[in-house]
Amino acid sequence: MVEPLWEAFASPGPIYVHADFGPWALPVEGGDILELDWHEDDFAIEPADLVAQIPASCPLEVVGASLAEVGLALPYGPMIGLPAPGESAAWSVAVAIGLDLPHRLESRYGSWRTWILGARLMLADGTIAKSGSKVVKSVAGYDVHKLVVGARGCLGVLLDVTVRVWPLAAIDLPDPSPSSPSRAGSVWVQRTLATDFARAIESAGNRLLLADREGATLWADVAPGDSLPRYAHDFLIRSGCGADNLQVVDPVQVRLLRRAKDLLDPEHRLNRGCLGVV
Amino acid sequence: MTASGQIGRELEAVLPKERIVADTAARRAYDSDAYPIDRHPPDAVVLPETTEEVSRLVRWCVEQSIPYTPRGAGTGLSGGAMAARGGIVISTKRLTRIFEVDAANRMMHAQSGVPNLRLSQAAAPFGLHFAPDPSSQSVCTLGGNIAENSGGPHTLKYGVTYPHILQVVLVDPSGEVWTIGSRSGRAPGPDFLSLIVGGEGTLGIVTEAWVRLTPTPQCVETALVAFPSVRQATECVSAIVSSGVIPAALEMMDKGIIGALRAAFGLQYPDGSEALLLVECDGNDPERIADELATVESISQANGALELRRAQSEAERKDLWKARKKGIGAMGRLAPSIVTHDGVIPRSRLPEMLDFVYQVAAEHDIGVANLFHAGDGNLHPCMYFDDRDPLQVEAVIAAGEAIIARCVELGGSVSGEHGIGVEKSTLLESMFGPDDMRLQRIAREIFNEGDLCNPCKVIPNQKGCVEHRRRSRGVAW
Repeated sequence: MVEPLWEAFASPGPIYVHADFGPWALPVEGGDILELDWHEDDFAIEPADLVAQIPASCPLEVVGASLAEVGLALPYGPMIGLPAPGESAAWSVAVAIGLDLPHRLESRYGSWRTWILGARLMLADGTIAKSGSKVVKSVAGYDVHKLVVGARGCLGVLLDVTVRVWPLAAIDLPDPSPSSPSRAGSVWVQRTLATDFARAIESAGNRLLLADREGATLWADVAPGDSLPRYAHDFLIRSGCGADNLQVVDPVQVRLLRRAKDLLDPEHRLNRGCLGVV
Repeated sequence: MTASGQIGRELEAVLPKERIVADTAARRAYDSDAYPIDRHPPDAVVLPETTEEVSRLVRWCVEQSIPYTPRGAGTGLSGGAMAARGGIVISTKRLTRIFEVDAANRMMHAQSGVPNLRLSQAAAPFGLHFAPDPSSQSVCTLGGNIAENSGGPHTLKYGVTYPHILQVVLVDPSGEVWTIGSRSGRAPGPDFLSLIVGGEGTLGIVTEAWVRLTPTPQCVETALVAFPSVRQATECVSAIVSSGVIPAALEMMDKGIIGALRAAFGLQYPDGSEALLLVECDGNDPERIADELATVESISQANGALELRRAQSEAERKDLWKARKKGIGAMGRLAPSIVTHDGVIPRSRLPEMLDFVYQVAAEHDIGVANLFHAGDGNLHPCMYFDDRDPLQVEAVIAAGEAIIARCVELGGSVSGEHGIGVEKSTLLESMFGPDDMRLQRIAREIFNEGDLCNPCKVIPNQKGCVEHRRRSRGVAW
């Protein structure tokens, strides 16, 4: 599975792995995107322990089906902007983790950052290193496996992950929303403080696609070049807007990100530009 | 003048004199945390009251090349707050202000020296609480919880400390002040908070935090189930979790604890009880919670339960919890010394793991009782012995190492909640190979390039830490 990676590392220049972020992508310098193989044998689902080891290249929908066969699930709600089943851009686990989009069940069941228990990564120098464990609770070492969530593959190539999963019977699905299409072209996803949420919804008006009051998160159809009001401490991620899809502007976050990149990928080869600042 | 006296004098240029202690008694009092096996006195202890003061202290340490060690209440169980190379201990015990309870946004802004329980007490009038509840919650501090990514009995449902921390103010190892994270709970890009929480104070000193507050459940159902064997109890744990019921707490006590509880407090359980399971389900829907407990009852009966006691009132609930909360205290009657080990295994391996614990204890002729977070697979074998006998001490250390090694063999972890500190820094290498350890060192280096901020912790073989590579294993007598 990793041989194509080693081949890619042997040549100079940028390497894009698990980098097909579809409409959520930021503009990059170009280059081929490498997707890795995966095999069913690489799955290890432990129903009694509620954990699953999953190859990072496996499509999310396959993961969902495999877990459902044994009465388990990863509890994410409807994700607007998710490619339709069968489309070539259907997300792998690595892409989903790299993007870490907000989802509708997050306030009840958490997100990739709380689900991920361990991971194996290939670093930019070709070495393979693991972090975390395969148990639901561990404080052994620094949680690098959580650091890579939302990093869009800029800090290392995810090979496999171990995640906490839920019994299907334990998941309360929210009522289906009549205005929640599974896809939209230009999606504005905004999380605010609870005290700003009513105003944010009001501002979205008829562009509102979905509102999760528990998680103070809204999804709206906002065309490129247009915007909705921003609020103190809010989080925003967009699709279909190129460089505006994600802006890491907090100077502390930018500094830490550059520092992590310099240490983990000193030549800045992995998914260069995919996170905007590195 | 002694070196410590000299450092104490020089510190007076940084902090008011009354907040510097460097006398022999103070240095002795601060020479360890609740892991007293490995001790080293600091040259001085300082008690800052603001982030700015902490920053000044750290900058001074860097200028003087003096190691420094952050410390909360000193309840840590792996030596994380021990001044391994001397220098100064920066205590957070005067960083005790709660700045704001923002009930509408379910968060609180507090300094890192605030005790865990005080956070929940401050939030209680708003129907909220701070969910992490380690056993030491009446004294352990928010900063200590962040450093250790603390758990507690209710971790199974509510998670450890990490998901409850939104933003921190960190004085980095150079003295610079950073605000990391977001009050909305999400910042774009990688989550650097995930390194700081659980970083054991090696990546800087957290002085303030915005914490997430959790609605206090309106309905709580608690039951204590007695089993005729440990194996039946542990199999019941897996069956409960697999059923779709996620209890708020799922704790187990074995016959060693039952015997100690009987002897110390006269607590009575059915004849033939070899294990107890404390199960608590909570939420806001009474019908649902009652259904969950009914499921637990049914699964318990299927696994051969001798008795299920269900609390009918808050007073009865507290009575049932005595089996869990008084267990360690009760063990004080069994022997002069107790060591509590900490390891994790997949919960489905609990039956064979407990068999192994009893076998190892027997082989080393050491008494053992088990009281632990069964739902998380987080074992705490408590070994009781006489620490005046060096042979018994060695036996306890050897037995502990065998148990932790077995946890790793079964796919588990060397620590579930006590941390690595100095105690397990070499054991970390039993979980991680050389490339994995290199990744750990890189993670540390993102924040901490030097060797002054809490040296000798987490990462083994640090410069100047040879004497702390391995003293012994085990905690707390």
